[in-house]
Amino acid sequence: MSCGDRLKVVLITGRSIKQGKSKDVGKFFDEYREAIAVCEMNPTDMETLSIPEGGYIDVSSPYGSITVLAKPSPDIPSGVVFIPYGILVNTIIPPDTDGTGIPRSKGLEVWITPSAKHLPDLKFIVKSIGGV
Amino acid sequence: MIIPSIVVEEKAAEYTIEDVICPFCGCCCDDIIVSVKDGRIIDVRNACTLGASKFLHIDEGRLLKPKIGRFESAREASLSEAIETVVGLLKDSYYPLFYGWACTSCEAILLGLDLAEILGGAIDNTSIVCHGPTILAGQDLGLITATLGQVKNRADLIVFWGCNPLEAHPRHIARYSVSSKGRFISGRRDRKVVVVDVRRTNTARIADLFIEVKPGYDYEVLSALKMLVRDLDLEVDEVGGIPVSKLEELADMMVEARFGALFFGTGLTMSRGRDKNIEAAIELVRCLNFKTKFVLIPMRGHFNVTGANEAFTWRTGYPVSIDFSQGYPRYLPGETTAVDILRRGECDLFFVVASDPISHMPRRAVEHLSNIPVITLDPKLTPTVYLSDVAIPVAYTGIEVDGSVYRMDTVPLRMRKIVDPPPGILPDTEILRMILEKVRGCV
Repeated sequence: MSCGDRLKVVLITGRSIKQGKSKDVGKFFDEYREAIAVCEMNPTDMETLSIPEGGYIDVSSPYGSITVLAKPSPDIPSGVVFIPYGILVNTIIPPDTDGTGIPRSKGLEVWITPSAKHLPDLKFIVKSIGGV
Repeated sequence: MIIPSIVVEEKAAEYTIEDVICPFCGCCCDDIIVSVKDGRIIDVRNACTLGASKFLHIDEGRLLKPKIGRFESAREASLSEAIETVVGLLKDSYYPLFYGWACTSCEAILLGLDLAEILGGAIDNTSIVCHGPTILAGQDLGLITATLGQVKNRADLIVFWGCNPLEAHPRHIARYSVSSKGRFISGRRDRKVVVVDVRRTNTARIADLFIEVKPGYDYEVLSALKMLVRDLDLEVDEVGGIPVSKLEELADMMVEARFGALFFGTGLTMSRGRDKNIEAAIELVRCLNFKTKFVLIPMRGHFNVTGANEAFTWRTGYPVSIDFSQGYPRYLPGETTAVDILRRGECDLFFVVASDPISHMPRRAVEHLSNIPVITLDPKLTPTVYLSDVAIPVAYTGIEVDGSVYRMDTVPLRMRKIVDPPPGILPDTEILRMILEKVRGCV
C-alpha cells in the first residue's frame, strides 16, 4: 500500500550467501556491512517510489528505522522486501516473543521511503546500543 | 602438537589433512581437505563458499589479547587479570544470563551449564532465535525424522519449505538431498524437488515445482495439504495465495513418493504461527505416513546448535532456556528464554560464548546491555566483543581445537584440530575451566 512517498510492505529477513560469507571475514569490514545493508525488492515497488537502482531507502517499523541500499529483484513479489540477518535489520524487529521465546523476524509490516542518508557505521550502532 | 589422522602429503612445514569436518553450518560436511603451510591454512577443497571463507579468514579481524573496557576506552589486559575481573563480576551478580554455545563444542557447553547452575543464573543457546519453535512443537507432538544418510539413500521426493539451502546450507543439495547419489537413488533424475517459499529463491530455480505462499500463511497451507492428503475436499479456490489445483498437485506428489523428506527452515519458525507452523508440518507428515514413508528434518544453522540442545538436555532434561535461580532447572518458554529475560531487564550480567547476540537479537532486547556488565569469549572482534566490558580471545573450535558436535540430524561427530591458535590463545574449554574453578572457590 502506498501513501504519498511511503510504501507499506512485508519484511522478510534471512541468510544471504554474501552475508554468510562475509560474517566470518570480519563484522567491522566493509564487505559485511554492504552484505547486510541491502534491501531486495520488486522493481515495480521501486518504480512506485521512484527509487533508482543503487538508491538508498529508509525502512521503518514502530521499533526504529534503518537506511539500506535498494536492490531490484524480480524474484521478490510486489509488497514484500528481503533484508539479510544482521545488526541493521534487528534495529526494527520487535522484541516480543508471544510466549515462544523467538521474535517474529519474518512477516513484519514496515514502511519504505526514499532516503538521502548514507549507510551507517556499524560501530556507531553498537555504541548507541551500549548507551554511548 | 598436531596429529592429523590422515596426512596425504607431507613436506617440511606443509601438510594436507583429509576428512576435516566443516565448522560452519549444521550440515557439518566431513569431507573437507585442508592444506596447511607454516602453520597457516593455505587451501581448502570440497567446502562451499561459506565454509571455505571461514577456514581461509580465521586470522582476519581477530581478537588477539584479552580486553577490559567498552568501545574505544578498552585496554589490553593479561589473561589472569581478565579472568580475575570476570570472576569478580560473576561473584557480584545475582542473576547472570549465559548465552550462545552454537559455535563451540559440547565439552564447552557442559562447563557453561556448570557455571550457570553454581551461580543460580539462566543459560540459553542460540536455537531460541532460530529453531526454538521446532523444539516446542517436537515436545508437543514428536518429530518423525531420519538421518541425512537415510534421505540420501532413499528419498525420491525432497520438499524445502521456508528454507534456502543454496545460500544457507550450500552443500546440502549435493551431499544429502537433491543430487546426492544413494544406495537406492542414483541422483537428481530419480528425485522430485519442491520448494515452498514467500519468494523465488535460488533454491527454487532447481526445483521441479515452486509454490509461492503469501507471507504468514504457511499454517493455512500446511493444514490444507493435510486435508488433501486425507482425501477431504477444500471448499475454497485458493489458500495462502496458492490455487487449490497447485496444492492438489503437491499433495499427489507427496502421497506418490516412496520416501519423502520435508526440510524446513526459519521461514516457518520465524513467521506468524511459529511453533504452530511446525505442529502443522508434523501433523501433515503424520498423515502422509498412513499412505507412504515421510520424514521431516529442521535445517539447523550453526554447526553445533543441535549439540547445544543435546548437551543442555543431558544435564538438565531441557534443550534450551534453563533457569537455575530456584536451585533446580526450570524451563518456561517466554519466561526463561534469553530474549525475554533481556527484554524485561531481569539479568544483571550477560556472559556470551561463541555468539554475537548484539547482531542477531532485536535491538530493543539488547539495549538492556547498556545497564549491566557484558563478558564475551570469542575468537573475533564482533559487535558483541566491541560492547563487552571484558572479552577474552579463544581458539576456533573445529580448526584450532578439537571437540564433539552434533550435525543437524543429531548425528554426533568429532571435530579435529588442524592448526595451532595464535600464541597465548587458549580453547574456550580451558578458559571456562579456569573461571569455574575460581567461582567454585568463592561460592
